[in-house]
Amino acid sequence: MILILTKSVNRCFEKNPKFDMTPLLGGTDVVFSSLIHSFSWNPASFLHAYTCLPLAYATRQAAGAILQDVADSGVLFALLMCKYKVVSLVGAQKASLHPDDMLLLSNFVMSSESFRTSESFSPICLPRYNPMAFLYAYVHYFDVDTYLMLLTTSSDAFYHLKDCRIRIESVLVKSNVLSEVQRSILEGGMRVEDLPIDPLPRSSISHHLSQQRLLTDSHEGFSESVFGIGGPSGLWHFIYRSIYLDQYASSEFSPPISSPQQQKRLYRAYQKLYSSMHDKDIGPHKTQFRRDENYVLLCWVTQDFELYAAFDPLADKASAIKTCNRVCQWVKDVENEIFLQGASPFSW
Amino acid sequence: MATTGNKNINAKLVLLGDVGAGKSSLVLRFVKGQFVEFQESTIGAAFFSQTLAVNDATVKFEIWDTAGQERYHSLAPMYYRGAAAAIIVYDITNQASASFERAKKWVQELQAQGSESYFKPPIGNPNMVMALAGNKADLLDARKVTAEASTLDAQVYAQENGLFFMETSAKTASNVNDIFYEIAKRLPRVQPAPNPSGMVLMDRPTERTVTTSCCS
Repeated sequence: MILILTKSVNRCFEKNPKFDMTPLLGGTDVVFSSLIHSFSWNPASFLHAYTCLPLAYATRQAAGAILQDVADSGVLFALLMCKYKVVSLVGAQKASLHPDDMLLLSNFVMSSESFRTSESFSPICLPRYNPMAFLYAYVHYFDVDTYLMLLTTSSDAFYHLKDCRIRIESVLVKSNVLSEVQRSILEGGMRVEDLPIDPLPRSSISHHLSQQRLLTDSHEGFSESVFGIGGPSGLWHFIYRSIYLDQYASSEFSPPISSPQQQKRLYRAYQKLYSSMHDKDIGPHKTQFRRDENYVLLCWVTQDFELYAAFDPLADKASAIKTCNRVCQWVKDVENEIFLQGASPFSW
Repeated sequence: MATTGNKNINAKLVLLGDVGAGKSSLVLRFVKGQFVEFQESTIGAAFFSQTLAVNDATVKFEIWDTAGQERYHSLAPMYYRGAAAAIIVYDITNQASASFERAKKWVQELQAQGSESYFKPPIGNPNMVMALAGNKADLLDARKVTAEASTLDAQVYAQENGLFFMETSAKTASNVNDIFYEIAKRLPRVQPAPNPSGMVLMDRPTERTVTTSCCS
């Protein structure tokens, strides 16, 4: 609610406890219902981290460069997003965007159909940035999934932001960023079946998601017979959260976690696991291994990352731990593609 | 402001009116030829542009479709500042004419902002072309007041206040292009001779614009 009205609404309540804010919120019911829904499927809501669309390093760099260019011309934050995933984002000097605010922003834009019909300019409040003030958001969809948000403090900046968008769009089209984004949506992210099994020769070769996919594709018959029920050692799914980057990467859902009900159940299990790991009274913990009738859940927290992994309930503990190590190594191998590096505003 | 050059006129146009009057539906019908039965509420304001050819000129409308919710009211000047034209929309089927009353308030606000006083330059444009649109004419049967009376009310009101009035339907497209066409015809063809007290103040860059444009 603060997103829409700022914290100033508290003043209204202080003056008049019976103050009815419903008229002020008119037309935003879809924003709220979609946000509430996201608490039952979007890991960003409890991890307090955002996730990126997997892209070749150079592609993300190209997008970041042009966003940086406009950020230098008086734009506070420039975000290029694809649904709930970040393609690239930059902030003006000393300005940092909290992952929670990013969830609110993407939810706000995604849930309101009105942004899709044209370019829009709307006041918005980011509670983690400044709960008392409005920023102004320029929103424009490049295609069905991909949209640009330019945030500014100036209510007069629409035409400037529109010009920025035109510049950004022409660069993105020229450098094929938008088509790469579409390709990435089709290809999807990391799959547990693609987890490299052989740990030896990896250090010398730089790995790419797509290359690995080619490899597994050529061995399709083989991989299907062996890993028909998830990845190695019964690995079903994982989420890797990088602490420094405030970002997470998760594997795509694949059988046997294929139905929405199963995904929701796993999501709840992760949520519980997360809160038990961060419990202030008995934690924080370093590792947790938990087996119930649905899964083996393994969580590993270090200074640099948190790993949450779900296995077949019959999975062997020792090999599950070994697999987790492999997942971490895999994430490091492809980190340039799955994370937004360096240019993040958190480094200021 | 409308600006002319080789009979090409750029005109900023703003749509104002109560929640659910059909502002977005009118614009979408005019710009994209589309209509959806359940149009979602606009957030903030949406921007469109559309070009119209009238007899003696080509008019490029830059259209601001504003949100009708009360919480956006204080932002309205941001959108109607410097506008050459405004369409004030109300829902003719609305009970107790609340939507029409809201429309009158908008007209008052625009008139007040357009007039100049010693203390403040006008935010609005004193020569603004204003249109009053009674929308949802396809639902005439649902109208609470008898059709003739309320149409008459609106006509009289429009005449007294220097607006022109049309009953429109975004659903059937009735009078939609006509209202924009009529505005295009009424826009001043030539800029009044340079008039420092009026024009210059209108386009004055505010402090904030300076900060956004002066950076590297």
